[in-house]
Amino acid sequence: MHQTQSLIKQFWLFCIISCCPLLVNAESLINRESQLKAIYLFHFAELTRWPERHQLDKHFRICLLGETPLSPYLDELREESVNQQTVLIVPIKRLENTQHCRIIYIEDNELFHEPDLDALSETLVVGTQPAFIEKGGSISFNVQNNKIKLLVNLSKIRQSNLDISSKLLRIADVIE
Amino acid sequence: MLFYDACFVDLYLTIMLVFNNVITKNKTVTTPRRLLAFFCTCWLSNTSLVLAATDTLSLKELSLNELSALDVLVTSASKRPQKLSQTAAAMFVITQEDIRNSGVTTIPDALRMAPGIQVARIDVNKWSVTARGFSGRFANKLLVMIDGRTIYNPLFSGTHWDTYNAQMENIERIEIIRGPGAAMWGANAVNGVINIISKSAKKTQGTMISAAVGSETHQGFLRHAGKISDNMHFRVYGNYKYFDDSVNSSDADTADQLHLGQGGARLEWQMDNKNKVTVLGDYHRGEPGHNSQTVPLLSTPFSSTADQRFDFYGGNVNLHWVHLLSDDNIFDFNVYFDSVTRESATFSQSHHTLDIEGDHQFRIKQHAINWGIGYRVIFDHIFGNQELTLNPVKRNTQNFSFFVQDEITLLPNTLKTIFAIRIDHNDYSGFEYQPTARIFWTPIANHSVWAAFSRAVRTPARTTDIRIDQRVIPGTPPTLVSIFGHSEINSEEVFAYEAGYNFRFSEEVKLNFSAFYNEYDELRTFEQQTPSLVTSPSVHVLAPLVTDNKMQGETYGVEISGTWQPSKTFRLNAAYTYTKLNLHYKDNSVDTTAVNAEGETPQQQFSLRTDTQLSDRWDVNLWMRYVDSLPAQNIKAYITLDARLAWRPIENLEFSVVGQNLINDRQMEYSPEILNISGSKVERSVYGKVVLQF
Repeated sequence: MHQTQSLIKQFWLFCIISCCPLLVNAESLINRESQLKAIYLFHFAELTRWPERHQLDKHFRICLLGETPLSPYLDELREESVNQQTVLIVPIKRLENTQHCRIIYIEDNELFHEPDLDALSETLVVGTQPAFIEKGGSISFNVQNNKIKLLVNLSKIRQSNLDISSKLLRIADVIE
Repeated sequence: MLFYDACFVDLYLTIMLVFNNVITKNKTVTTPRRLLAFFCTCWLSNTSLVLAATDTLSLKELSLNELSALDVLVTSASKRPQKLSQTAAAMFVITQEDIRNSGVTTIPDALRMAPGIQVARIDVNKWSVTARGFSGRFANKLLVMIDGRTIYNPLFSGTHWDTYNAQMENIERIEIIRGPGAAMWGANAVNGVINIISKSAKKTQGTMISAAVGSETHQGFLRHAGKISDNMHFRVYGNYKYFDDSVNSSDADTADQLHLGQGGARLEWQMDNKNKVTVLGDYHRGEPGHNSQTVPLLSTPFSSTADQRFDFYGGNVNLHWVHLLSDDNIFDFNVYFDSVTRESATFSQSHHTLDIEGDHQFRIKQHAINWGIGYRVIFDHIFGNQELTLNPVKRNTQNFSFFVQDEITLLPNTLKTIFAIRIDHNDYSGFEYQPTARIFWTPIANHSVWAAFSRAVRTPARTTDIRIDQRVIPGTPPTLVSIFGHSEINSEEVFAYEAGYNFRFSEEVKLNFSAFYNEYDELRTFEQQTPSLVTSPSVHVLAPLVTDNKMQGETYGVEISGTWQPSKTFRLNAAYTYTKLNLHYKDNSVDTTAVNAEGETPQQQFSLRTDTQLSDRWDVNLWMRYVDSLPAQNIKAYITLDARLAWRPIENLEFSVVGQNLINDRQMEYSPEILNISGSKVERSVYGKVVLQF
């Protein structure tokens, strides 16, 4: 009994001592914007039709160009599957050899280095800001009135041999 | 605010009426009407939808319309569902991937992965599963649920593990909470809660066929899930399992084989943005063999030993309705009916359970409040004509419950406290209260500590009405030793002190550490009473052992679990458990066996699992376990090894070979208590399995 009590005292002491030097910081706020964008990428995966040969792949690759705050949220979803394909999250450094990427998400600051989005075929190219669409992106996320709005470049998507569900188009602003 | 007022006034009146009725035993129609009025008021006061949960996985389940309506800036995280690392309790999750990789074919086997859980196989169809000590076939301090349905045998308030044949492929995850979870989860959650959650029909679209053939088991399984419309999905499944008999402690063949068959269906209907209804049900049937049971006789040879065969069958229907009232305001309604019958040549037990629960979560400033009410009624009929009898044979028991939990965010994402209490009224021990207070602190990102203090009770069960003839001591006249239940028995109670530390060094390394100190009182003992001479059916001396509450105890322990995933193709999971029980009699107890529980729980357990992906097509999984000795049962410490090799020649087709208990030829894990049944050994085994999905 006595031994137990001293064990417990020691345990508490250990907890208190190990925690004291740690400074309180409230850094870990949920970044809802990135979280929602990550979820949208999964919806895009479900609601876009790729050419048949890609539908037989075992994996569905979502490629991320550049450091992005979406990563931790995509990580949470990495065990999920889309149309019976396991989703892989693949960080990439350049837009080279991207033929295995079904979706490429380009973080804002990377766009200047990679001006040539038109060459990407059979891939859904997703980014932020309306300007992204002008540079040849397929879908862009824009924040308006504290909500995420989608801007879809339908002609670009069709050029890339993709087809997108009307469900998605219904909630998006569409550019033909 | 009108909504809250309306609900609270109604809630108050409802509780008062329920309690009044309970106290006066005055069953009027007012209570159901009042309840109905309460639900209606809540229903009518709904406003627009915004979702409370901030968990990414939950948000993903939203429709596009719901998603596009969400605000981007949110300042605080909500309460449920929570991330594992944000839980102020000792929690462990077994995922579908863990289940598949381990090659386990039963739920108790899967639970061996979790720290703080003691699992031992008694024979092929009987198990001892408990958390933080107090093992036994009739272990009664653990609450087990499948999809919100308590799988509970009201005779001894434990679990008949053979009956609940959840198909392993249908399980999404098993959540294991060590320590008292009564305040939130319900009766019997004294030492832990096991929550088995099935995959949704929406997530399992398509057909799955699997078959396994091996030295100790044959199994077949068929599942089909489809879509009726965009917001309505269904699933049907059926399985058959056979587990071969084993050998007893002297290596002679036993008759403890098990045949199981189960089928079920599930329907999910996302009615609109605010309402989701899930209806599910199963029907199961099984034949567990009963190992040479010794029954006492009043004449020579004073005992007979025979194998028996049991039959069990039953089914359940469960309706679950989630209604989103407004921002951070969720109403959850769950009702189920469950019926189970077990019978042999000399014994039959059937019980029918109706359970209704309503649960409401909302947020006021930094308070996330969750409260609910529940009602459960059990109709049973337990008839025995040999060593086990009950008086009365039929009994209906009711339980009313109310719980409220307030999670207070003191510093957003840094410091929160949780206060919760559950109040129950049951027919055996009357009112019971079970409070908990918890604190959770994240001083820096990826490091968090928590501490908790709780009280929980194990309420008496139908065993208060039991008589078990244990053995006959030969003589003239012979002496019959019988266990008698006792209607004045109290609830067993525990005061639990817990603390934990979760670290996440990086995505690759995660560690959970928890420690507990539990103080028990009013633990069950068997007290010998003055023998008396009985003339019927023949002259004998009856030596009664009457159940009482004359034992106290302290238990303490440490549980550590960790994951190391250096690459996408390799993962290592380790778990260590230390558990110590100190039990002592009080009030002049004359019991001599109850303290044996000290030596029936392994002091140390260790588990190490590695999952290696050799290529896209090949997997190798290894699982090593160490279990300490059980001195009270003369069982030595042992190490076992399971191994699995899987090959996927094409997409959606998998072949695997699984070897279980590879180190020892055969191993005794546990000897059963109370009823004189001989246990059997766990044998080395191998099976091959094929899974096809399309």
